[in-house]
Amino acid sequence: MASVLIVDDASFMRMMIKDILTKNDFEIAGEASNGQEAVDMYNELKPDLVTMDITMPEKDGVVALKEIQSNYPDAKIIMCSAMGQQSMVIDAIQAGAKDFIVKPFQADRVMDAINKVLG
Amino acid sequence: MSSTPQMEAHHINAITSAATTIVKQHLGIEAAVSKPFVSGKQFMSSDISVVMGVNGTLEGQIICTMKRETACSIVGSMMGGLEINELDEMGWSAVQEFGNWVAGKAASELSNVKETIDISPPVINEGQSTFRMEKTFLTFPLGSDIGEIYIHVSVTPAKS
Repeated sequence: MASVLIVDDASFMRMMIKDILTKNDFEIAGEASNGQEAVDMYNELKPDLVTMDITMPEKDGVVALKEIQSNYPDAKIIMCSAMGQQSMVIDAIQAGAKDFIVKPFQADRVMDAINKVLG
Repeated sequence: MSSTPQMEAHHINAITSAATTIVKQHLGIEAAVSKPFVSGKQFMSSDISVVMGVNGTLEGQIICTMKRETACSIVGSMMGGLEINELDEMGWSAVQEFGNWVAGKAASELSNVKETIDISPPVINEGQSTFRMEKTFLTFPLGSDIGEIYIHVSVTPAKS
């Protein structure tokens, strides 16, 4: 069972993603509400996959992605962006993000991205 | 000679279209914008307001206000069709996320008319309040099966 670290500052979005993942038999490694927590929790938990929001307080998702990728080049990270954040998504993909999903998203799209990255 | 920037129809249309699309396509709620009116430099909100600041090639404010029951219905739809009667911490987070969705869609629609904007994270105001601003607000009633959402817009080209 693959483990996933969910990173989003909005508790509602964390709940939505957690719901989709648990219904599809994934293990929730942990939940982080900002980029720094994501980096710290990645170091501690070494999850199989991370879903990473972009706009967050303290440290945004793109900076957190770059830190995690520099320590763990094989890290599998999927970015969760709002519409209208194309430039940040491109930056994240160039920095090693494996895919991105755009909010508001459908469960199918989330699972397609996760299965493709883990496949 | 006055150089005060004026609101432009294609910017306003992009914003109201964004809100309508989110409500119709992503929440599955039938909705349509009815005749807009000028609220002037101040207006009284409904029970709950989602306040967003616009920065970039355009600047101003977008404020969506609605009755508490309408907000509960929106949250219920966002949670996959649950019946919500009270907004708890998760519910308020969902209202804020609704603002994020509208803001993101508005930024996307405005990029189609060559405007580049950032929208500040939504602030939620609880309770009927008077909002005042130096510039004029236009108000667009978005009628739906779950009640009216009023979209108050004051967005003009940024001063260079």
